[in-house]
Amino acid sequence: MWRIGLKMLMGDRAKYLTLVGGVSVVVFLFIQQGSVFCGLIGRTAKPVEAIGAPIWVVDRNLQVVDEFKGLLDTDLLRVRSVEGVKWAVPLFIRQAQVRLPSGKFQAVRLVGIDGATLVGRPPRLLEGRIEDLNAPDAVIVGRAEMERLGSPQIGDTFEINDRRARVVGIADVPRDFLSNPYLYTTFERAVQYVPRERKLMNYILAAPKEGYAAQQVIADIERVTGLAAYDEDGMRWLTMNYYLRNTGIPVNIGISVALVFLVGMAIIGQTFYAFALQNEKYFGALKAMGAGSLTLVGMIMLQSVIIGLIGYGIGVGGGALIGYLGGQGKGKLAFYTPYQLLVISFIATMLICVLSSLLSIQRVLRLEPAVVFRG
Amino acid sequence: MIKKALSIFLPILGLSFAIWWVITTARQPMAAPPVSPPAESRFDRRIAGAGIVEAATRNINVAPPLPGLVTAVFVRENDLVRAGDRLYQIDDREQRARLASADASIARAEASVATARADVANAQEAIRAAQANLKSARANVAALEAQLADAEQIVTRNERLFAAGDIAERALISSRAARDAAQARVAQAQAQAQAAQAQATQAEAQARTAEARLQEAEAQVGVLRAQRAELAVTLSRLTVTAPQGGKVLQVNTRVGETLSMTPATPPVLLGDTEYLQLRVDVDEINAPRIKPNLKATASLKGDATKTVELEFARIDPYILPKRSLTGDNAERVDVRVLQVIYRFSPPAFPVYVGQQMDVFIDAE
Amino acid sequence: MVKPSLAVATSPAAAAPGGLAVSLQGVNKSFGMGNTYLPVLKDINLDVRRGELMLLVGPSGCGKTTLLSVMAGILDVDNGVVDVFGARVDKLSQSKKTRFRQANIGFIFQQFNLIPTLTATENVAVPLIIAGQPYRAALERARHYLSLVGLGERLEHFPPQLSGGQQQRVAIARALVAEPRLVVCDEPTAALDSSTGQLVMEMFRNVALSAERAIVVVTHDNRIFSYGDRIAEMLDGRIVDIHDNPDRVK
Repeated sequence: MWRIGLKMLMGDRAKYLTLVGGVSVVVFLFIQQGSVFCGLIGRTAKPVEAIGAPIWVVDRNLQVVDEFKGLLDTDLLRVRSVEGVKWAVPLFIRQAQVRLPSGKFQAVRLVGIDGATLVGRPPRLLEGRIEDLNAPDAVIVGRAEMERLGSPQIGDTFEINDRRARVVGIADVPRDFLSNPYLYTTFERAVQYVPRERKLMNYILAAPKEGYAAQQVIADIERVTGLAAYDEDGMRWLTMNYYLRNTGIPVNIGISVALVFLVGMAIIGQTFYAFALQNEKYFGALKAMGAGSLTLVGMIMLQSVIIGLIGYGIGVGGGALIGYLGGQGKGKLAFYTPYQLLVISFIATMLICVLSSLLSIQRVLRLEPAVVFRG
Repeated sequence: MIKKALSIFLPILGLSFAIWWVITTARQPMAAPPVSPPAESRFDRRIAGAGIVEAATRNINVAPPLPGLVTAVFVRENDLVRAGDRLYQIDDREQRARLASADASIARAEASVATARADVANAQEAIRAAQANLKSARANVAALEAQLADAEQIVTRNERLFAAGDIAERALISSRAARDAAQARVAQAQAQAQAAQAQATQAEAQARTAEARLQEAEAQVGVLRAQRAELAVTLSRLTVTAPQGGKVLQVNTRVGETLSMTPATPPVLLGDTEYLQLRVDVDEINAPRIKPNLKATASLKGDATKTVELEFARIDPYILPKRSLTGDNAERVDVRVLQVIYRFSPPAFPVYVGQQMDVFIDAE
Repeated sequence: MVKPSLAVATSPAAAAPGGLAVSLQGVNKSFGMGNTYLPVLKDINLDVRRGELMLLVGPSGCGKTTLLSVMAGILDVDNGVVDVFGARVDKLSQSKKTRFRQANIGFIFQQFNLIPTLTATENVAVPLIIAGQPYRAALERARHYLSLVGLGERLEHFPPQLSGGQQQRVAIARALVAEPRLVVCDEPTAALDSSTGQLVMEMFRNVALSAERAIVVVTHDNRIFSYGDRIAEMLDGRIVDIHDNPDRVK
């Protein structure tokens, strides 16, 4: 009977294409919108990921990685004094104004990393050597949004806070939400590149010692120093939650995702219902000829599952293709597809397909003569 | 065929692509490992501090005693010096000129002394002459008074005789004339003696005056000599010498530079590097955990593999405001630190005075 | 041939050759419409003999199709006895009725109800596949039955590519392929022109009918009355007359 069911489904090319197309488009839209949403929110946490440290020690009132809440110099010593801390180094992240050779100003995300250990350094250098960062006036430019700095080459210079900065490398860094270029330099120089502040350092990066659980070390740091500490995921979610709470992203894109989901699922359901209704008289005939209810339910489930699977496969492929063509999430298009999105859309698609088709088969199962004999 | 492609190939392709996409774009930890290992402690319970290496004597900032132009620098970095060795020279031409002038003044004052001495001698000579005159005048008076006495005896005798009438009145009158002449001669001689007396008195006064002048001139010489000695000391101070032995850590001055009384950077920094000490800043919050004789290790900032064992020296009993070690020594942070001093002998790897070290103190 | 055990005859009389195929006694059926009940079948008593083609005629809405559905085991009756080849259909559970239909009843519909996306052969094979026969064997047998109805040249055609008469002949092949003992036909010629209708009726007589098989045809097409052995006339839910067909073609 499976074969009969499949032939019934695929025999009519137009209807088949409509069904598959409908499901594909809905899944595609859901994946695409969902990925843009996840991409945008994910980008807010990119600075955390780009710097990458097992433990972040921050001011207790820090809400988001993009704000500046200074720490005392001696906080570094106090964090180092906590049992279970393997190492701790200072970090400085701040918005700074770069004066370009053209005279224009451009905001950058200035990252000052510990000059000795270079903890928090850019994940990968496209050009130059990381060791050159310790040269006088050296900065490393992040490739993302680099064109805003006039796409500098190694050796180019610009001015920050009346001080000279010389490019010694180009780093591969992810685009983030603020869409400002990254400028890496050493901690000691970074504090010179911004207007004088009473407190110089705003983050302490640390790692737990072997044999100590990260969460325990984090709790100890918070208890002993009175500062807040997060692991990398905690820091990411701190930032993402801040943007979810305080920006229009969840409302704007979230509504769009929700609408795509609801409308899409309605379309899938309706398409399926219509398809199943059109086949009602044939199912009625089959039922009359002695096909059991379970058989019929199985057939129609098979049909909906097949349509769901095919539409889902094409849809997610198309969605991913948009991300791929749109710069693989590294370009201007914020596009990130977590596997949960695939799972959610899969479950939703299957559920809607199966439910809507089961709804349509009810009349057949009740076997009304009008259905059987008059179609 | 199209249907088959659509129903089997396309969804599988699409799903595989999507899965590939999800896997390849899945968030991967990007963290790059540290370039050099950060400072780590082998103590479980420990107090971290930031230390600065200094010489065992502390670093001696040899500043000039007077502001002035540097005309010579006698040492270079790493020179070993003993106490009293010359370090650098401040321009001393003015002081030398003033010394010469002082010498001239002394010579002149000494000449005045000689003149005064001669005056004194002359005055004494005059005294001696006056006294000789006085003596001869007095002798003359005595001789004439003897003559007068004789004349009076003759008169007395003649009066008695005249009265007796032994002699003529003429004889009496003649003897009386002779007595009056003798009286006149005595009076003259007495006047001469008085004049000689006055002369002698005047000469004595002159002698006293000359002596006084001599004393004044001699005092002047003393004053000028003292002044010269003072100038000589000043001159010698312009050649700056090592207050004690050690190594020259820093020479910040060059010939031709002008040094103020309190230069921003030490012109010459001395220190004994036989043994080094580490001045460790500990957050005041951790201060209660610090006890004497705690074990400690230090590693070079920037190379945690270079570690030295420290030997406790002392705790400075004064908590002071922390200074930023970022090259700018302005005090910006209202944090106070306890300074703990540790000693160590120079290890196999080079450690320089002024270098920062990460310190871990065992708080077990 | 598959002959499920449910087809077992329960009464000796019914099982005997030339005996009754269908026996309805005092069958009532009404449809509920809220609180009102609309009686559709009123005290129906009807016998269909084996080897006979019975026509069920009457005006629209008189209950012909309902009666057919009762005989075919599609509708439950309110009361009365429905005996089909000795099986008390009115007493069977739903799932047993389903298997009973599959084993014993062949259906022919007014609109043919051929699945348009299956070839003629596949359409004919459907009842066998429902019965659980292997696909290939079912197709083989379906081809045989298609050639019996004269469509040996049209095996791989899809229903929309066939004429109405051809489609109904495919439907006949489908109704017969599982060797049912009762074939029920609902207005089999209503959608066909008269000559085609007569051809189809010829086929009922020549191909479908056998000594052990009965055919019940609901129709109001008087052009085919001549093909029936007996004619039962219905009016307002009652059988008003049952008579042998005087004009029956030989």
